[in-house]
Amino acid sequence: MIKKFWEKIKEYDKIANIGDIGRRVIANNGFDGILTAMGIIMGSFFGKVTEPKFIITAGLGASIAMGVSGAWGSYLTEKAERNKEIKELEKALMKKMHNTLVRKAHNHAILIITLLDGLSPFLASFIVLIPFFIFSSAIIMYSYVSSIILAFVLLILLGGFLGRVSRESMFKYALNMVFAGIICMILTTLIGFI
Amino acid sequence: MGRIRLIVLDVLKPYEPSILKLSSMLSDLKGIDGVDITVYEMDSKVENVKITIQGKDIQFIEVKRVIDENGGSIHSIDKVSSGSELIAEASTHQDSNA
Repeated sequence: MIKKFWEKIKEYDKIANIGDIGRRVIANNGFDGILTAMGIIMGSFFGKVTEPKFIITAGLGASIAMGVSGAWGSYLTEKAERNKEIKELEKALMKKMHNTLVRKAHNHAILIITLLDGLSPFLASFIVLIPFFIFSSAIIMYSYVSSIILAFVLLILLGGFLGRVSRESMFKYALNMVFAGIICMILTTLIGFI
Repeated sequence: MGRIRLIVLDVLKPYEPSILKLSSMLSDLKGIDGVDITVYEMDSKVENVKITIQGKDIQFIEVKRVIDENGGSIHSIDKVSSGSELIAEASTHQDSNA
């Protein structure tokens, strides 16, 4: 059954190009999620927030907002683009495409990409915030440090993933991601001087 | 009723699902022994193909369903052979050169 399901997904992917767009969405929005969480953590650090609850609330709020925004935007744009594609095909074939594999593949593509677009920033920022669930306010410094380390680990993994997709140097892409994280940290450190 | 043994169709279809998929789906149908699909014209989004199907008992409704499901549209039925055995097309005066 799983094999059959997987074959179906592969078939839909071939028709509706789900894999390529899905990878782009995961990388782009996952990156957004990590940097946003980093921003919240750095901002909280310089704002001398010592209560994990506040950081968790702010972080989760931002994660949910990013998830909803990603999913909603993606659903509407994917739907519009794919409907346009189907209409062009209908015009060329002079027939309606209801109940065809093409229509089904595009419908699945809309659903999968919407989910990926919504879940990737949410999960990425949620993972970065995990230490704040673990350590108490007495040792909040551990949470700050481990969250930032976790964010960099995720950035390296994401860079590695992109390097693998592009069949170029995983190290180069990971380094680029880490550099973006450092820039984010430097800029948010400036908040400390306000 | 005589069983359809051979049918040749002129079909317009999108590039995807590919002819590999369509051919495999058609040959999976009951009563079909072999399928040949030849592309003879390509457009920016669609392609014209000639589908030749041979079998012991071809169910045209099923063939049409599979083609429809794959987004194809049957333009014409160009040849049909039916009966207990396949017979060759007879040559007539119209076929010979004057």
